[in-house]
Amino acid sequence: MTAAAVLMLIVALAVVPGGLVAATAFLALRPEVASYPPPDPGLPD
Amino acid sequence: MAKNAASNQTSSQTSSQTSGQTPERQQWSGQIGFIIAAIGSAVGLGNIWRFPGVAYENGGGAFMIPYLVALLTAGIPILFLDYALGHRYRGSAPLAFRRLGGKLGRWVESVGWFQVMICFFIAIYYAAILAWAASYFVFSFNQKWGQDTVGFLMDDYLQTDQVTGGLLAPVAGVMIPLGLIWVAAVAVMARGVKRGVEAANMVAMPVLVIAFGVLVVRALFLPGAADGLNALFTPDFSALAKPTVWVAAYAQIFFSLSIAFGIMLTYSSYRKRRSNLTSPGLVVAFANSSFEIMAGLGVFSVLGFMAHENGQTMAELAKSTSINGIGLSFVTFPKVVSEMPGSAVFGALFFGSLLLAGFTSLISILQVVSGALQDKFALSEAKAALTMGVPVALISLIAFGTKAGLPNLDVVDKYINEVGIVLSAIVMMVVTMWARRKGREFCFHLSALSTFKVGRLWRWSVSFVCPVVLTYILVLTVRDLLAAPYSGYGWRLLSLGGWGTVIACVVAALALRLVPWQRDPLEFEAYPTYPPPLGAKAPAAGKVS
Repeated sequence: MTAAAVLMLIVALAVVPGGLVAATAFLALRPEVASYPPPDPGLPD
Repeated sequence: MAKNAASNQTSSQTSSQTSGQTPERQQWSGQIGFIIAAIGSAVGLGNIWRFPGVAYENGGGAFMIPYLVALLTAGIPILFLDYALGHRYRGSAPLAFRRLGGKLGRWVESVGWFQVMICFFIAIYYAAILAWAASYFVFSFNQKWGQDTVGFLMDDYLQTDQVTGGLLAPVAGVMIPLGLIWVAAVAVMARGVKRGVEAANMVAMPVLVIAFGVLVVRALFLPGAADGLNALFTPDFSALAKPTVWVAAYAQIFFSLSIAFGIMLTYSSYRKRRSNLTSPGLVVAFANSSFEIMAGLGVFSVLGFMAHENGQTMAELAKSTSINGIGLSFVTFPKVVSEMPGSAVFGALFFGSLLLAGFTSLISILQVVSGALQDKFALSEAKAALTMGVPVALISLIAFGTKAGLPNLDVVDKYINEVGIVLSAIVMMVVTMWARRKGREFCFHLSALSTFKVGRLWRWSVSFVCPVVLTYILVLTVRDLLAAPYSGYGWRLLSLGGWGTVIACVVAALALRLVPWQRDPLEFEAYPTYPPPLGAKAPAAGKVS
């Protein structure tokens, strides 16, 4: 493969699957919703 | 809490007056179930057969730049808008738009029915492609297509050249797998969201990723694969100056993510009230794009192998061979499969992947219709599945299990996607962000319940950037469709199957809003309350401006 093609392939892999890894890690580290609003027992879930 | 919401109140007004009589809504088993199902919906045929060719034809490696810009400025923002609509109003598309609409709710409900009708028509032909993939999966084991793959597809399999019996004469080779696809799809729908849709995705998606991963790895080691990857990834930065390249990138993201025609809206309505929305949305969006990149690697490695075997350059191959859509999958790929070592396994992996990717998308499309019927007519999952499944399957079998199948499919697909869905997206954003001015409320809703906060940028994107870009795309498309007959088809077919389908969606949408609801659609409580009560601890709201 040419250097330019390899470079673009690396960019594509870094951003897209890299973005997937980052988003998954973020979700795993902060899975819970914010403290607001409190649960409302009067509502069906 | 007392629950007597007046029918002309907005959701935020309603929220302070309603009580706990709203029927329990179906739910995913949890966050992972939702994410897998949403990825299953987004990853479909377009990821495998559309993205690689579009990237190659629009600047190669340089296409990644507009593609990523489109993902961040349109794909993810519209995905979040779908989530906000479905989750805040806790309903299928018609119910969510009915609740969004306030005093104009009866009219705004039509937007939801328009999305349902789009899904209805897509399901009819999408199942036919899955039937072809199922047939080719079986054919892979003995390469039944032979050397002339075009002739096999058109004459032997689809029998488009045989006028005996008329255009509506059944083609058994298509009808039988198509019937089986419909039985499987209706069975999944009848089991409901958790035991049907989620369970099917939890089985199909890991199998798909493994099967397609094996195929891609095998393809990367074929002779000539590097030439194929060179063709796909070598950047032509001059392409970035062409508006058509940017339009192609936005269109690819838009069609690939299953946004703006009710799917993600419906799926998010089955999440618990206290749910993280945006972070899973990012996972879904990047997973979908990752699968597209993987498909690009696989498809272009295989095309590079084909060029190598034929003694052609990739440019020559791209001129002489279809590298997109049905042609890529059912003409080019069978030809390559026949030439390669271990062809039966390779063919089975490819067509099996198409089948799985398509099936998980098909059930998400059907869930939009089924969910709408459940909400409007207070039907159970099983009754809604049968009420929807029987007529859809019959139309599908008549329209696409016959010799008229291919032209019908091509025309309906073109118009429903490039006119219908784009129109749906524009109307959805204009109604939500401009007519009902829900930008701040949705921003609050998304951020209050999620760990990834959204704010002004998101509002600008779905208020300005996306409507403008999509309107431009729609104008270009309509202009082209009116200037010359699409693919040389006759005006009768284009009028009936193309424009006729879009007009049918509009008429049906306006008519269905008149059918009375079996339950009061406004008897619900939007949660969390907007604007938040004074003194409430609202860290998310502080970032919403």
